[in-house]
Amino acid sequence: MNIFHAANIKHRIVSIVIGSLLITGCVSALVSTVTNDLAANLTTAVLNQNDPDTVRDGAPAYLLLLDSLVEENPEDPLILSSAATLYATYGTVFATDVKRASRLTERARKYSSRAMCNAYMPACEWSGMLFADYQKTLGGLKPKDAQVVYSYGLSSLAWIRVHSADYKAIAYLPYVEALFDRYLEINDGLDDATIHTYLGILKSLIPAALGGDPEEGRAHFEHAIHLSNGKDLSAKVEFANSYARLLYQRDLHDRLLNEVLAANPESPLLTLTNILAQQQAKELLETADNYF
Amino acid sequence: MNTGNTQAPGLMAIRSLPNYLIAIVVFLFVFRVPAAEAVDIKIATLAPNQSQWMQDMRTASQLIEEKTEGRVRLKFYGGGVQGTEDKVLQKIKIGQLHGGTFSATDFMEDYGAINLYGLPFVFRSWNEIRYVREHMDSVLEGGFAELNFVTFGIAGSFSVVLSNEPVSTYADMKGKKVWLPQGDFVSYEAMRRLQLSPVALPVTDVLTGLQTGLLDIVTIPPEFAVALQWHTRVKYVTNMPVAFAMSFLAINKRTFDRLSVDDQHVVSKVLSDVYTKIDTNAPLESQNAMEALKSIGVTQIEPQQGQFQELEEVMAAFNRDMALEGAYPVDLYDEMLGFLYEIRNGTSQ
Repeated sequence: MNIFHAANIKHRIVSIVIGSLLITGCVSALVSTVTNDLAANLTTAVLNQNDPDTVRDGAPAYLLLLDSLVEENPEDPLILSSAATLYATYGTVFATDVKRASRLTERARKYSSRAMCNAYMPACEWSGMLFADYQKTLGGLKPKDAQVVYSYGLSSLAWIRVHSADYKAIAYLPYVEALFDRYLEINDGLDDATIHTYLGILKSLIPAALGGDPEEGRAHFEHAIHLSNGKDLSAKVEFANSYARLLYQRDLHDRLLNEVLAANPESPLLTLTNILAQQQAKELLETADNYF
Repeated sequence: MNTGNTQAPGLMAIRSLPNYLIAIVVFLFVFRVPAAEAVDIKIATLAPNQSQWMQDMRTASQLIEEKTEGRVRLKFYGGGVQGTEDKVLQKIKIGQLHGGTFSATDFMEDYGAINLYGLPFVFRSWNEIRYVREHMDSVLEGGFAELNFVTFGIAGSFSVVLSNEPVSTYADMKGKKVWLPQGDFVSYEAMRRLQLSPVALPVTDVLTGLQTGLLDIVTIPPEFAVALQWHTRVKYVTNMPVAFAMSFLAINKRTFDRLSVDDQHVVSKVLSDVYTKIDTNAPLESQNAMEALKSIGVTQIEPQQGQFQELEEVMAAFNRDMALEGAYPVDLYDEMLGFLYEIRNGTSQ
């Protein structure tokens, strides 16, 4: 068994979908402290933006603004979570320099860890905790913790992705997966396509031949697509990239990506994500002959 | 007699052309031979598609295609989609595949010598394995030619003990249920000699085995434990090199011989460079994975004074017995011990 080759997995964990959806939560929380109308309008404007560069150029100002809000409210879980999610988003989606991405996602991790600790005391001990002990603590999370859990999970994924050459980051992947599983249980019965997409990616990381269960991943991807009525193009792109490529299913791969390219990306609260998804779909199709 | 009429119209036409055009036409006819058929080398591996190894290999494949101007293409089938190694070997025999990544145990029956590095409790450090390999890699790799395979280097790492009870002495291990890969009969016999209870399971069942108590101990490189998330089901790691687990890429010689000599050189150079890089980084990767285990609360255990030596002594006798039984050549085993003696006694060259 050539197990050595299985080591040093550099998982492409954090999809582009992180970007817009996290910006949603962040901007909402941020601006709602000022005015709810502005929050709603700004959130909608960002998510409906069809030019990613505009978001890329505009977001740093909000990073600084959130830092200042954290300074004023250093223990507020929601503000910390908002700051964490925007840093995670920007660090993984828009920061091209590796060192910069590392700095930004490190800050996201610190903010979200503090938010998690303030919202749920057992989480203060999560760092360095054995997985079995960690799993036991997840049972105590309640619906009121859902938003902070969401931010913590996504910030963790962002950090892992940027540090994926480091086994100290890779080691936390199953922790995030377990957290998202729990999130679906506590999210007040509201199903979340984005979380299903993330779980699809996480559960497709290890091939069946090495003990993984990609079919579980497939079920999450299909559910994510179903929940969004096929309008969330990121779910299809990740389905193709994480699952269809893993199992060398060229037909599925090409069908999903061609559907993405043929779709109208303009969709309320999904436009930014969909534009980015179409860019990635094009790249995946261009490299498909070489891959398959 | 006008012989001109007897000439082929084509030749007439050529003679009527200006010299420079004739040169071009000749060039086209003489050199425009059909392009050499591109050779697709299909390689199967268990490595996931998003693993570092696979990324390195895809980059290498692009480089090979560029340098051979498209005459050689490597196609990878990752994640075990082509089946286990024995199935891959069968597919190579019938030409469905042309290569794969393997471990020593996959060639255990046909090429016993390849097991030498993986014998338990032979090496104490990276320095020792490095020194021995400097002298013996070429010998071991050369043996693959007789099996009609071409290889491009070896990569490996030391297995360590992962457990749910602390293991710091030989006595801590006795009677414990220890996982080993199916088909690894040398390790199986070694564990029996050590009075352990070997449990041969496919890799797919190990995590469940740890969860259900079917297994007490797994010995595996820490990089692999983290990559496959086995670290979620253990509490302790013993800082003691158990055996050198190695892997290599082998391409069927019949396929390789279809390439021109120049293209063979390109493929060998590019793939060897990749393996050299992986191999060079292996100690750091191993250390990083050990730190990762520690970072998520897995307690690192140091073996008690003298315990390693006791295991070494028991295994030294076993290893010689296995050599005498023909599991691997006695002369090569002794040669390996000779190099070990050199590095341990400061007489290394």
